[in-house]
Amino acid sequence: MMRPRMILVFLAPAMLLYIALLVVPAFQAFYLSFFKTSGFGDAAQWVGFDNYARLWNDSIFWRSLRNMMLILFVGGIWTFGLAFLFTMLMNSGLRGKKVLRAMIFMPNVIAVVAITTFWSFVFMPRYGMLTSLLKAVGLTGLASTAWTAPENVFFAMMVGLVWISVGFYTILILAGADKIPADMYEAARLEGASNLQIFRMITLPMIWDVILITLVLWSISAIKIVEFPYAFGGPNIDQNLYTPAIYLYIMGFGQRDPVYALGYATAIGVVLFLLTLVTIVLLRFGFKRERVEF
Amino acid sequence: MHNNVSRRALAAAAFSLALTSGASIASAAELTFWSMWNEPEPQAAALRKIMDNYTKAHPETTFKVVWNGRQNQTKLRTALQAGTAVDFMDQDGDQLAGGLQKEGLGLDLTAEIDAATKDSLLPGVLDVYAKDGKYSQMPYVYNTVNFWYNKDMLKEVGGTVPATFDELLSLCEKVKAAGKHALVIESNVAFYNFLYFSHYLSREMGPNGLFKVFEDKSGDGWKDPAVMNALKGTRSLWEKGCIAEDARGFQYPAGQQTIALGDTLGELVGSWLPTELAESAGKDFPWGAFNFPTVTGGVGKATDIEVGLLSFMVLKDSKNAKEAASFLKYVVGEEAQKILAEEASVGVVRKGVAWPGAMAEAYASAEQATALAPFGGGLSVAYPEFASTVLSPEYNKVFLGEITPEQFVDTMVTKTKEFWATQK
Repeated sequence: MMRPRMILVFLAPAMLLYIALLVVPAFQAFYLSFFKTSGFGDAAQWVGFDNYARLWNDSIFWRSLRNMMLILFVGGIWTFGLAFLFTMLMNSGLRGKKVLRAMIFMPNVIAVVAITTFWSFVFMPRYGMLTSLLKAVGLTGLASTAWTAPENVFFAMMVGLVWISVGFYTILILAGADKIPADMYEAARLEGASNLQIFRMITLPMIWDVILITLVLWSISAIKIVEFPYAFGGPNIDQNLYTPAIYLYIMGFGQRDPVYALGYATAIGVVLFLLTLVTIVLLRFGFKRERVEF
Repeated sequence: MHNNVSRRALAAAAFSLALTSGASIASAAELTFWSMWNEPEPQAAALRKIMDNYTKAHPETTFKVVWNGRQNQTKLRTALQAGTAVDFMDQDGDQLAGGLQKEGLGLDLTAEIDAATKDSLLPGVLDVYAKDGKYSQMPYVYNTVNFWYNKDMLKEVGGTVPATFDELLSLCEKVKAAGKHALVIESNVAFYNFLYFSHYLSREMGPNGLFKVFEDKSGDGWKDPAVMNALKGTRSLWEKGCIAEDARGFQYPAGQQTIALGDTLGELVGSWLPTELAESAGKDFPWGAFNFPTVTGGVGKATDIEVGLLSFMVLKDSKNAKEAASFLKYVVGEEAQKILAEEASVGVVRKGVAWPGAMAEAYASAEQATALAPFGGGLSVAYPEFASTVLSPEYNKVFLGEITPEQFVDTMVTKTKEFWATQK
């Protein structure tokens, strides 16, 4: 048996790297959020909680937060709803389960930029796939809708985001469901249970811990989401697609316009960190259940 | 004795050799250049060739290049904090003006730029980013903002280049009658769409009109009738069918592709459009360019243009500042500028150097310019945060019909007042 001191020696290099490259910069970020600075080596000016007060009154930040919440909840309901549906269907004794599973997961192995380019083409006015399809079936009124116009673009993006996310979460939930002894399903079927009843009474309670983990993963990725909306919206992203993390990037890293508000951007980062923390704690408590042993 | 003499001679030779080599070491300089280009791009290849040519003529100067891509200035920000030594860099002039230049990190090049160099450049080029008459940028690539259009289509619909905004609206009628679309936009590129407003306002009020409006700290500048004219004038492009309603959904670069497809006559955009569409439009596409026309009752000229220049900057703390500045002068010389125009297919800043064929009319626009303003009127350089987060997105809303011109004015009055109240 390895002595505790020895374990510490082996862990030390990794811990030191973790502390130096993650923990210390994180604390520095907290500190930086109390300054007004462009980050160009200028003398940073102490502003106390001014960045946070400004954030409180910043309508763009609130809009980005609203978008993030829509992704978290509306996107989450669709993603998990579809993931549960696929899990239920695949566990119903369907043939070709492995092929289906691979197909559902496929979007996750393709680069996000390629996926978003595809979805942009689907929703493109005049020549896009959806417009052509609607025209072909005679729905010309609907075909003239500009799906990526400002009032629709967020939900057009969300369709693509749900599409790419469903596969990932289905695979995680399925992996948990596969561990449930097959005789439980057989017994339930012999008793005449429907697929929905089996899913609700057997699968769901027995993979509760897996579901909690997937919910935590979804929440973290939804709160700090950047890549999908950003790639969908293009390099000059519309404010309708802003999430707090995208807004942080715009404010701190100088895009087309030379905005270099690093202190302010860091304050957004700190708020995101706290939001993530609170969400995880709420999920842990809200979804706490007695663990089912099997 | 002979041995002694030989030894002395050898020692003297060695000493003089040491001195000479010492001297050459002292004057040799390896310039570290951080670039906004990616190595595979033709612009990077052209710059590489220019640097090689310079080293051939000045063997004591060599280059170490870091090809960073468009995030160059942001990457440099981090590097400078870490103490990395960089001699010079390049970036969009607008971004530099609001970044390194604003922070006072650029070397003052005023003394290095002699009258001959200044005279050799297209009108106003150096002054676009000058601050208090001092230059810290050396522009080397020139982009103009014009209506870029399909010359053949203009002929087919029986139209002519419009000199006034009313003529532009009449041209739209002709294009529409021919079953085509006159103009197209990218709905998600707010700073492209903002060009309509900044140009219209400039034609109404003359150059710097936007500054006059915004720098009225009471916010009442936005109540100037010229602002309402500009808002309603640019909205009329939609109302009169110059821009098709479904263009509200075009996400860059979907809109501009409709020009290549022969569906749309043109777009108000920078002179990089022919390069961006080279593959889809083909190299023989009949590109033409005309300036934003004048407006009825306005004092601005059609020759007052907006530009997007790419510039070099020597870092203030560079240990090889003199050598770097000499190189920059070489880049705006005839030989280097020809290489850029011919091999990188870009417009350049030196008078008399022909721009690539598709951009010929943009060169004429630059040569005849009576006033230059940065992209979008220059507010994004002087007040980037306001321009980027308030002005440009709010204008995009009014341009795309989400809010009325009156609502835009009300918002801008409030936001401008708030902005100035927070400036200490």
